[in-house]
Amino acid sequence: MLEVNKDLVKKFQAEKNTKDFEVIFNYFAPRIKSLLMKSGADGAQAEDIMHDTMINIWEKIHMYNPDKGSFSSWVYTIARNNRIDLLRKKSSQPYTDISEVEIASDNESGLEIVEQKSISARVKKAIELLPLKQRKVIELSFVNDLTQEEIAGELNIPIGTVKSRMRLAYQKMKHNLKELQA
Amino acid sequence: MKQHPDLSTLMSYSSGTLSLAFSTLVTSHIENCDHCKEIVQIGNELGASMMENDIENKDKTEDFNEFLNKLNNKNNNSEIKEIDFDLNSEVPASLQRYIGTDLDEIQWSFFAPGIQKSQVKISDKSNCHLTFLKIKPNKKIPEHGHKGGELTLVLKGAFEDANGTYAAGDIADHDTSTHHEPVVSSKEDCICVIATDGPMVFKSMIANMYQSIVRI
Ligand SMILES: [Zn+2]
Repeated sequence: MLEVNKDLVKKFQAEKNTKDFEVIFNYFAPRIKSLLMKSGADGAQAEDIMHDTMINIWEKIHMYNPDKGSFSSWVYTIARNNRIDLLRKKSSQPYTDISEVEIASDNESGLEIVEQKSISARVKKAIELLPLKQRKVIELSFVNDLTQEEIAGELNIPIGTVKSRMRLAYQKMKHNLKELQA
Repeated sequence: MKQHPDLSTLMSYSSGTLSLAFSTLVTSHIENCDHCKEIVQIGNELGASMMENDIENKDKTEDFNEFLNKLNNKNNNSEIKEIDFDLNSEVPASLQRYIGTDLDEIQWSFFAPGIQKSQVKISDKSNCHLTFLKIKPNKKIPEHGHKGGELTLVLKGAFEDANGTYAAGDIADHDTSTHHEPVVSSKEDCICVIATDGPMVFKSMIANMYQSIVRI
């Protein structure tokens, strides 16, 4: 299988051809679908949201700015926003995402984390280094799509504990990312 | 920007599990806050990593040709809507779809002496709304109880409480346990917008005034 790397994304942005898009699709489509199934979507919903996400990638690829984050994180936010729109049906209005606002404002966010190489590998490692209790809370939030209140119920702990574990997880993640940079 | 949402609020924002009202206010803050932008971006990288690596069957494939057909059909009968934001407005871009670009255009109604309010529904499908308050200088923002969390975003002017001063763009992130008695500290009126999990119940001064509890 061909790899989705920076060069391929750059080429796809410039040429927007279906050959490169197929590589992106083959890598991300099963992953998006798998994430959605874990958030409680049924097969048909997961397929719909995955298709919508891939359509958005095709249509909005010119908006992706590699200086602001990895390509995967951009794909993730699109999938997440579609999940909010379609799965939770909280709103008939599309979810305004910061990336759309940011594009319009065109200011550099100056994220130190994206200047480095292989951010994905470092993030993966940083997550693995999280203490189990913190990792669990993060998983329930990001993968299983549970609110802080739902996580408290699921783990039978006070919501204040959920909040503090999320804070600690973030701080630990940030620390780990710095350490792994060396 | 000095006052930011709690780290846990920003993580939940990244995971997409905040209510529409909460995420709208967080987006409004982040627009102009590089500090929080970076935190949310780390959250997004975290979410992306979980999406990439937690897949059970890495060899699973999806049908690209079937998808291409769908894409081609869509391209034929739809147009992409580009969203236009007024970035010079004092209204954050994320709020413009609900209240327009001019704070003076908000339709206020009397709420209490020195306080006007405006409630804006932000979803057709659920009872999700934002409460805007316009408060005169030196006035206390009415104390209110609420179930769950609450976010207050300042749009104009400033208020202060035990945690410091909140100016335009700042967010006060309070949960149930927090005791707060904010007072408007700016010379001009303070306009802020509040999102809560449950309905807000104003107590004390309002209760005395109306001899009952007023829900907004
Ligand atoms: Zn901030």
